[in-house]
Amino acid sequence: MATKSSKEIDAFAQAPLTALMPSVGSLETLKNLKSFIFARYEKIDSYRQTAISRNERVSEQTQAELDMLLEVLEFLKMSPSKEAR
Amino acid sequence: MSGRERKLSDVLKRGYSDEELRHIYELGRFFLESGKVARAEKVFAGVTAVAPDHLPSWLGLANISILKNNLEAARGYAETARRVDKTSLPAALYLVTIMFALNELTSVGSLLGEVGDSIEGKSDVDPNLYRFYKMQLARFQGAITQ
Repeated sequence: MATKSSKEIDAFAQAPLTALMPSVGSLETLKNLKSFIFARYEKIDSYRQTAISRNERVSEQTQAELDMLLEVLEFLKMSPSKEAR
Repeated sequence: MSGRERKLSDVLKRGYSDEELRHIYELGRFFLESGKVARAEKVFAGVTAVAPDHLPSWLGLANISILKNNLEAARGYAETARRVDKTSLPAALYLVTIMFALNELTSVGSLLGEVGDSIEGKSDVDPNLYRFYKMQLARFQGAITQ
């Protein structure tokens, strides 16, 4: 069986389970999605704020999506106001 | 129903395209490789919240649960990944790892048999996957001969 580059073998040696996870995207391309990510964050945060103002529960799904978007925005150095958290 | 309608519903997952989800998932993978486990977990949990059929993110959550030694949660995530794609070899090997830790050797043997049937004798298998399978197989053979 052919082997791949030594870089991949090193990654396997360090963290075999992580090496089994497919690498399917690109951080460079993610950087091109800044506008989309920010717009999406604002939209979902607006849902959240509306729910809070109506004393409604913010769903776990919505909160999970917001937490994810905040991580992406922070990585992209586009953190929204802390108040939004 | 037309094929076009199905395709659109497959691609648009609560506002995200498959491509956008792939790049966001990659950030979770990057965080995990960098040891930023809590940040990786938020990314994977977010992706599965908007796209419950995103198999790699379920593996990410299983990986993190194994790191935290929360094996029942890890099993749940890996089983979800298997439900998304029952032919997924990485998901099967994640379950093998978890079942080993839970000392469920019968299940380990069954899963390793399935994986072996899929990859033995094939030349286009991911080397990491093959290596992981061989490691677990050796471990299993050692466990049942003790």
